[in-house]
Amino acid sequence: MFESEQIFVEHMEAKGKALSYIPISFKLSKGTYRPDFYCPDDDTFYEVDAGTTAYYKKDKLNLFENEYPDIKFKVVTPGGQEIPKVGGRYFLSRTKMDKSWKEKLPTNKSLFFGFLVSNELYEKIASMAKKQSRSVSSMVRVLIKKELKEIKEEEIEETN
Amino acid sequence: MKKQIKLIYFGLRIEEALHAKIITEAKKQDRSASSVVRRILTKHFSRPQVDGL
Repeated sequence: MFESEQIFVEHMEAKGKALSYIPISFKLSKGTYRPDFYCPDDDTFYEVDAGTTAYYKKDKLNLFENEYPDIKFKVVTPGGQEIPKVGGRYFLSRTKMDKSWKEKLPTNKSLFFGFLVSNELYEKIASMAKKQSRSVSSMVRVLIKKELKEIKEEEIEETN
Repeated sequence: MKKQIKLIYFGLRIEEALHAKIITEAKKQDRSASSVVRRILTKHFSRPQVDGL
């Protein structure tokens, strides 16, 4: 996952919305297209534009929208701002892209960690996060910390 | 649409220290780091839940 996409994940999480990363591939009359994210909460697919990616994909994005008109789809900046269309088409330009999202990159020392998780397990985590008014990422961090601590305690018990 | 998705790629930012702990645990268990995290989460939810945690 690119850092710009991670910024978008954090932006959506702050709004209490979970995302699936590259969840599905759509067949187009010319090739295939895989949107960056699907958000089950608003039933919308998202393409995150960090400055150039969507520019190079613009023909594909327009084709996707024409061939799947019933699917909710948005091209957004990493900060979540929707990129408008002109006359129903994306005319993305390399030079006019907003790069201000780069200022939002975290400065503290943290690492990106990604893993595949079943829908069922994800929903359990998301439900617990909701109950505790946390983001899903925060909930996962808490659970990992708690369980790793327990592993240590179990080992101590065994050695005693 | 939601039911068609069987697996979700989930990414998050974690502190360096926590990342190091996961890697250490993965080496100990001879598993991948992502497998360790999945097992940790599955193990947690397989237990009876008390006070949410």
